[in-house]
Amino acid sequence: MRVLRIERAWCQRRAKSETPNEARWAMITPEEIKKLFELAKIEATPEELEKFPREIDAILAYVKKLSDAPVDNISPTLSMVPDALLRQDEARQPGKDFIKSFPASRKGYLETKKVFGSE
Amino acid sequence: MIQDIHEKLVLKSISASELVEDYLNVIHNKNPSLFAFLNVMDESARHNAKALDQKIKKSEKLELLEGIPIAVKDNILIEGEKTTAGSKILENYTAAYDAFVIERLREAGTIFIGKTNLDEFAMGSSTENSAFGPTKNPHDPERVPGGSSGGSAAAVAAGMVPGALGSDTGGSIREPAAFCGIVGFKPSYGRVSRRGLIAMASSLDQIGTFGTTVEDAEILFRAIEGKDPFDMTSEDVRETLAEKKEYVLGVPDEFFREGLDKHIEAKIRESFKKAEGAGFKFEPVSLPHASYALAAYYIIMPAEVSSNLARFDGMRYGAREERDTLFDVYRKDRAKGFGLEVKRRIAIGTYVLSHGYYDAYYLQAQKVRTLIAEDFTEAFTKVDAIVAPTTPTLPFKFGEKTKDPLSMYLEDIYTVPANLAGLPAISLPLGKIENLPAGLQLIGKRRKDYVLLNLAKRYEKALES
Repeated sequence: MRVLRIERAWCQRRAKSETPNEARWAMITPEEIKKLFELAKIEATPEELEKFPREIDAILAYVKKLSDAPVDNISPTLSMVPDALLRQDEARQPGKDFIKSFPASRKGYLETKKVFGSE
Repeated sequence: MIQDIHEKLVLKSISASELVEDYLNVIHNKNPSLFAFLNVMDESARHNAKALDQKIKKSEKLELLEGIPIAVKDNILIEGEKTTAGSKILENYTAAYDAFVIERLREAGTIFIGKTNLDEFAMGSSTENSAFGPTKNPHDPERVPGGSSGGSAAAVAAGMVPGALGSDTGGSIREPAAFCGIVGFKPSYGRVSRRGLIAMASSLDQIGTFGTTVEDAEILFRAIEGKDPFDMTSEDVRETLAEKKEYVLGVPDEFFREGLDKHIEAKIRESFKKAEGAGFKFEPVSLPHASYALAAYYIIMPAEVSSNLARFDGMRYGAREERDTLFDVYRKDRAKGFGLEVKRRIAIGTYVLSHGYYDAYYLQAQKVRTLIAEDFTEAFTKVDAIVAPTTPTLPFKFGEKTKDPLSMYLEDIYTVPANLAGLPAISLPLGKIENLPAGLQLIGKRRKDYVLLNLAKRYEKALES
């Protein structure tokens, strides 16, 4: 997760270097698709890298119509239940089935590859 | 129909076991060709029916939903049952707990008879995105049943089950209900807990119900609605119900313009005439920002998708394969486990949330969402509900829209506004156009779900005349 945050920060710095007008409603390039897949931790196939720029471009061209919506002085709606409060987390023992779903486990714990030193 | 089955059980003209056996027969007879079910729960359904028959034998009081077989969309968790969400990445996942709605229905005594097919992670309008193959429309096997809750809708339409649960993020209950010629109800956002629903877009997702009648959709809704301490967006709502002599329905011009199938429009307008004689009055209303709704939806939804699906990291579910590094596990397992539409939406979501694009896309879309909600609030000062088409087209053929994702997205154009504004909405069957079912949508005031259901029952009756 830490690496993801670092990459996000990298992306933010890169985006800042573009002028705001260029960044607004810019069309997507194959290089950007590749970068998005890297950020999303999905290995892209050559077929996807060929197909997705065109498809995602068409979708972004459609959503571009939002740019002329009259939103001055309008506040955003993030949820229809804006006053929902978060409850305190409580630790509970998960059922046996929970562990059973792990693809790899040791002594009842989830087994993963090493986080540090693995890349 | 649920009421009729209940009476038969009470009168002992049929036993719960016979009832379950009858439905299992229909399922096993039709499922090989329709593929509405991913998993039929024969054993547990028979077991629960048998236990209920013991109770009936003792002539104990039987509640309305006791013994009623129900199908559940496979993105809703039933403890101990495989739950795939239509995705390869969850192919071997067994649910570790019951969803809130399942707890409620279990207490009410329904019998879960199987898990139904869906577009992967509920992303799609045809079930063609299911990793396990598409469901067929029971009215025409060459056509899609709609989606993403296509399995649940097809199961009810084909008589495999009297009622079913689905989920609706942008129309995933109403569109398949219209395509399959049944009733599909999406409650107000927050009215039904989402605990145990595999999340797609959390500010839009809502569990709802399918039935052959509004009454059946309401009976199931009544059993599942209400506050859940583990879903902080869920709430208890008390509605005051007063039957009105005349309901005023708003007809938004924006929903009847170019793009709507002429035959569907004619059928809807025909229904207005019937309804006018049955206690309805029609008024023109304007939803001036409705034309922005689908564009706002295709920013907000993928943004939430890209966050929600980050949890599928190849660590806790699925089959672990030998990989060199932790990041290889992520990259390769997600590449292998997710289908094209899921990847497409994750990519769009990641893009619109990037700094530099965030304001232009995501923030702009959230502001437009406010405008859309305000349009409805304004309209509801004059009318009791809004009447609209459910879909712009009749059920389409397999493969017709898979090559062009945007054409598939446009199927949701009339259903998405209710999700963005958190409103209750229901699709009613309008009858057939050249052998294919069409639907009409009624959109109600926020938190006035029973008011909408009452109104829908009257409209349904008017349609029968």
